[in-house]
Amino acid sequence: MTVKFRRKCSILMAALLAVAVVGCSSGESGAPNTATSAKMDDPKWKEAITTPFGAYPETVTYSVGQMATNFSQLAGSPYAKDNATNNVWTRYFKDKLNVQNTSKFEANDGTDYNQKVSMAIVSGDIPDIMVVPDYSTLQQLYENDLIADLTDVYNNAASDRIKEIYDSYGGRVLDSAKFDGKLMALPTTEISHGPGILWLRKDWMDKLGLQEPKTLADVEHIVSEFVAKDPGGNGAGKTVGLVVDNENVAGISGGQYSFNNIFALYGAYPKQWMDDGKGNAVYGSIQPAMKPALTKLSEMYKKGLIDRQFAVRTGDDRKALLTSGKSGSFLDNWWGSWIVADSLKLNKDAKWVSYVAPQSEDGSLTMFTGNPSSSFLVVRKGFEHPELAAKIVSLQYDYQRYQEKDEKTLKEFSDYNSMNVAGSPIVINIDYYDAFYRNVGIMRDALETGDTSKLVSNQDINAYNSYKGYIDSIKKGDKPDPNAWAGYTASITTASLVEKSNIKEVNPLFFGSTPSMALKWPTLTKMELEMYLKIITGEQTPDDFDKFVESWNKTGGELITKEVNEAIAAK
Amino acid sequence: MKNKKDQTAFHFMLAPSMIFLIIFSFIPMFGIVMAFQNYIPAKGITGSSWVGLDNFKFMLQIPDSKQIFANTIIIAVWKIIVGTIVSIVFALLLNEIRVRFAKRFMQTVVYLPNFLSWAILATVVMNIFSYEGPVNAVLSWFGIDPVLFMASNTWFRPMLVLTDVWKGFGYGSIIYLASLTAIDPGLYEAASIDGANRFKKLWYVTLPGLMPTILLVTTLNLPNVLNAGFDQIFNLYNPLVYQTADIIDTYVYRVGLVERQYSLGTTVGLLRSVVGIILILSANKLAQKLTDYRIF
Repeated sequence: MTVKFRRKCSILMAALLAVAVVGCSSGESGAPNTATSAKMDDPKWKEAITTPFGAYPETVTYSVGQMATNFSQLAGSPYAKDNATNNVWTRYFKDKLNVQNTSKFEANDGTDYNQKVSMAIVSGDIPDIMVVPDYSTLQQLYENDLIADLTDVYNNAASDRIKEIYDSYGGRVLDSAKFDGKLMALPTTEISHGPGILWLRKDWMDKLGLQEPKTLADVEHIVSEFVAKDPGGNGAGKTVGLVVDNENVAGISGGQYSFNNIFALYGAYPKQWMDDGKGNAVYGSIQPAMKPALTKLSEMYKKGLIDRQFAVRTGDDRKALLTSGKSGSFLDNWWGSWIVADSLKLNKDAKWVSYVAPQSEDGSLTMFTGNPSSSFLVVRKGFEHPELAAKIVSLQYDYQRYQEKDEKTLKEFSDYNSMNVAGSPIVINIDYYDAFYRNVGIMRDALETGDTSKLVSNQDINAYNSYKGYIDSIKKGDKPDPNAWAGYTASITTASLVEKSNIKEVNPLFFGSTPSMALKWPTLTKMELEMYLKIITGEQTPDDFDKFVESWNKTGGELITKEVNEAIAAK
Repeated sequence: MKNKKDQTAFHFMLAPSMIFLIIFSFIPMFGIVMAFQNYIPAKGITGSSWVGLDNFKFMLQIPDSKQIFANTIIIAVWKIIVGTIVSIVFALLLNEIRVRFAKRFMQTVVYLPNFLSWAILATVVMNIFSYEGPVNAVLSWFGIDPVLFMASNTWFRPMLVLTDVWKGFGYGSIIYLASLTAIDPGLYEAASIDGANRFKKLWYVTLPGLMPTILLVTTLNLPNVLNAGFDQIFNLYNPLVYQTADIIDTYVYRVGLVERQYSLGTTVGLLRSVVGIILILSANKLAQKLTDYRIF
């Protein structure tokens, strides 16, 4: 290499370094906002800004980060040309509020979308309105002063029903989006997942003459009969016990494939910040009640009542075990029927039934309530019309659902529904806490009498039509559509079951995060996960739980517990 | 000086790879300052606060770090040792086969897995060693209780080494096969005249002839000690075997990307790089000493 060439190289390197460093600095965002105050003098503008459903005198455009919709499903329908900025929802918004969206970014739901949000934050260039996927992102946006205060906006431009819905959570939801007393986002409401539900293959139970389960002993008996007698004809020793998630053995609200119910029997609430009875928050996973529960689970594993290979299973494996008839039992929540809907396609005799089990001796089942808000709708600081967020939310989750009566519009929405296309630029959900069993009685009556006058929302009417179709197909002796079966079994059969059961709720005290958690939580959760797996599979004895508690405290758990209690006290 | 024009052309040909190296290897290196910060994406590298060596202190404090460094080294060293031995033995055995067709056929067959990614092979391995898989079926004939190979901390590491060697030994033996052809046939003739049998020829002629290659390849493998194989482990492991299988790369992936602890992830990654460069430099020195070959 010649000297000259080397020098050229180093110059190039230096230039690139400069570019890299400049690229990393975040730009200033948001210009001061003066236009709004001038508009407040104009009565037309003032009305639009301060009411939920008032239309703007001039079209207001807003950029949005949105979850991609698969519009290709509309091919062949009258809506074939619809896209992210012109579809049933955006036309509805334009029509009612005189607003038009432009797309800042589009991404598929999940990791893709979260990455795009992260990228937008990293670059300091966020859309006027977007949904952020978790609390820590919201916190980051607030700390970086990138989002607008929505306190006034919520008071003025959110509809009464939206406020009523938020209130059905007793302040828990709105508080989660408040910083220093200011409402910084409109939170999603996570409707109650309800208690854990045991799903069993009824056709297997009938074959073996087994009774409905109530206690844990009943459940153990049924599963052990399944495993030993092989009613599914898998071959000796090939039938798998309870299907379990290897990464979430327990502690997730609505826990799919998790042991929440069994832990609750012993008064253990893994991963929850529980009240210790004296008003202090303690971490559920390190409480003494965990030990007998873990001992029980390790015994069940030893007897083959829990999938022996659960530690190595992926999500696809778990679903496949159930739909293919390798296993006839799993713990889930009320919509577990959707998971096993495919088994109807593979085996026409497969019959899944839901039970509120295992119950404690007094016939009750205890559940912990979940984090009431999981994602947040935020407005960019400096956006001229922050009230738009509240207006859109009100239109989408109140007016369209409950008050819209225009047949043509509703037809368009239900067409979209039947083709399973979403379309709205803003995907959060705002619904009553008890949305799951709120209307089940009314719905049951309507299905019996055919009188739909009491069904309040348009959503309910759509659901009614689907359930009606399912019932009719059963009456005619047709093979039910798996999706219609799943919907009916989840929302009617299981919801009725839960409604009748004795469900006790315990409320965790804390769902947020603390300063030390940022660094230390991943290590602690990993320790915890290893502990569950090792004790259940018998690699460690239940006595090793005490060692786990000790090292959990030492590795930062004690500090975090202190911080959590401080955070609760500060509220 | 006459060659100057030719050299420019060579430099020009080097340009694409240089640009690639700068964009994907040099520029990202500035990111290591994140290890000394409490990095917040919104604030960027320039805006995040400096925390000095806090991340390093925390890293040394957590039980994970010892474990992942130990795992990384143990897994990689075993892979190098077993991999090298199997490759050499295979090359020697192949060399003894006189039927050309059989030799070719064998070589192609053992080559095959090298061209498949771990994403595919992992599924194959998982099925073979699952509870209902063929291996456990065979064990049960002998009255042995089925073993959950992929969920056992005793078995997982041997499985990693075994499957890695299985995938790579065909490819790894090429270089030995090549250097076998370089051994002077006259030596074998001389050995025959002295009355050496096949084994003696192997011991006194072939192996000494291979020695420089073996030494060189092994030395050059040393820097890979911290490269225990992300693809393989990521596709095969599960939370139960974190204890014995979690290596630096998988840990950095989980902590840095999944849990969004950018700074901690960077810190761990940085330490890996530091150890890595020490290994590369010493391997280079060692190679020069033992075989008179050096990269730089």
